[in-house]
Amino acid sequence: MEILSEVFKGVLYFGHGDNWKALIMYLIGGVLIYLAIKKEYEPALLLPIGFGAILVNLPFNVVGRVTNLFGIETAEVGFLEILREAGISTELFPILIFIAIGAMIDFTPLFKNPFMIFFGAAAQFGIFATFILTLLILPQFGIVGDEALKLSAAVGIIGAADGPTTIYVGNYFNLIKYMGPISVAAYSYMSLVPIIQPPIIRLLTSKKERKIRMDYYEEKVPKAVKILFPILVTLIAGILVPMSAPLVGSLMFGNLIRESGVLERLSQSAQNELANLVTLLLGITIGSTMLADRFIDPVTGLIMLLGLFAFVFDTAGGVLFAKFLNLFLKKKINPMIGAAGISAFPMSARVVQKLAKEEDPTNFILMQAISANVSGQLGSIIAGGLVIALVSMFVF
Amino acid sequence: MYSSISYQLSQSLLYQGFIVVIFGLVGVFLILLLFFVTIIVLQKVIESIDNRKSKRTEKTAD
Repeated sequence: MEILSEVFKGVLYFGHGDNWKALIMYLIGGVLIYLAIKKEYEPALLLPIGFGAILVNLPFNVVGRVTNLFGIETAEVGFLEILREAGISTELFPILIFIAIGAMIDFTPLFKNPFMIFFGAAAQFGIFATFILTLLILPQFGIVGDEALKLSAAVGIIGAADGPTTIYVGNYFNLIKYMGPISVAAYSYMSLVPIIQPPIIRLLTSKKERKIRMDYYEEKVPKAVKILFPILVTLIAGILVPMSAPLVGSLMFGNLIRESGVLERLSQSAQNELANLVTLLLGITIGSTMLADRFIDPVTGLIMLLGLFAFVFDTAGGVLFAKFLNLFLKKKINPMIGAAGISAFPMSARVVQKLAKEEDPTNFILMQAISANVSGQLGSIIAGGLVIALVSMFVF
Repeated sequence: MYSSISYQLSQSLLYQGFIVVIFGLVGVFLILLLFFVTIIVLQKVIESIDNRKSKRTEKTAD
C-alpha cells in the first residue's frame, strides 16, 4: 500500500486541501497557449506564460518552490524559482528587454513630428485614472493601507501597455502574490489592442474627424540628432526622475547602440538574440508566478478587469486630448492619433492607420501614428518611474 | 469607532492617491515637454552647425 501511494503520490496530491485548484490552472494555461497558437495573440509571451502556469502547478511544484503533500513549502527550489529570483526579483529581465526594445525603436518619425510627443503623455491618463479607481475599490476586497497603494500603482501601470514596465513596477513594490495576474493582464491586453482600441476610437470620434488628413514632410534627420537624443533623454529623465533611470537608461542605451552606426553587430544581437532569449525566459518565469492558491482569487478577476479599464482610459485620454487640441488648432489633428500614444508599439499605430483607411482609403497617417506610438514608449516609462517615486513617498 | 478609523484611513489613502495622480500626470507632461524642447533645440543647433560648415566649404571652394 505504501509503495502504491509513493508511486501515485502525484495523483493523490490533488486530493489534499486546495491542491485540486491546480487543475483549473492547467485549463487557464491551456487557454493562454490556445490564444497564442490559434489566435496568434502575442504568442512569444502567452505561450511561455501558459506553459509556465502548467509547469508550476504540477504536483509538489518541483520547478518552483518545492512543496510537500500539504502544500507547505520546503527549502528546495526548482529551476523556475531560480530564474524568477535571478531575472524578475533583480529586475534584470525587464531591463534587458528594454535594451532590446531600444535597439528596435527608430525615433525618426518623432523627430519629424515632435509635437506628437504630447500624445505619449496624454495616453498615460489611463494609468492614473485606474490608479485612483483601484484605490477606491481595493478596500472592498480587504486590501488597505500600503498594500492598496502599491497594488493600485501596479494595476494602473497595466494601462501603460508596456509589459516590462508593469513587471518592473510590480516587482519594485514586491507584489509577488499578484505578479501573475498583473503580468498576464498586461501582456494579454497588449495583444488585444486591435480588438480593444477600435470601438473606443469609433465611440469618441465622428466619421468626419476620422477622415482628417495630416501633412507629413519627408525631411532628413541629421545623424547627430539621433545620437544625441538618447543621451540627453537619459540625462533629463535620470536627473528629474531618478527612479526612471533604469528603464529610460536601458531603453536609450539600446537606441544609442542602434543609432551609433558603429555597433551594427551589437544592435542586431540586441534586436534578435537578446530579445528572443529574454522574452523566452521572461514568459515562462512570469508563468511560474501563477500558482493556483495565489491566482485563483477574486482579486485576480479584479486586476484583469481594472487592467482593461486602464487600456480603455488610456485610449480615451489620447483621443480626447487630440479633440481638445483641435479646439485651438487651425490645422486639425486626426484625433485617432491620440489613441496611438500608448506604448503598444507598433500595434497601436497600425490600428489607427487601419481605421483611417477604412474611412478614406487614400488617407495615410501611419507616420504620425508611429510618432505618437514611440512617444508612448517614452511616456510609459516616465509614468512608471514617477509612480514608483510618488508612491514610495507614502509606503516606505 | 472602527468605521470612523477605517473611514479616516481610506480618506488619507485617497488623499495620497490624488497626490500621486496630480503630480504623476503633470510630471509626465512636463518631462515630455522637456523632451520636445530637446528635439527642437537639437535639430536647430545641428542644422545651424551644418549650415555654417557648408558655407565654410563653399568659401574654401571659391
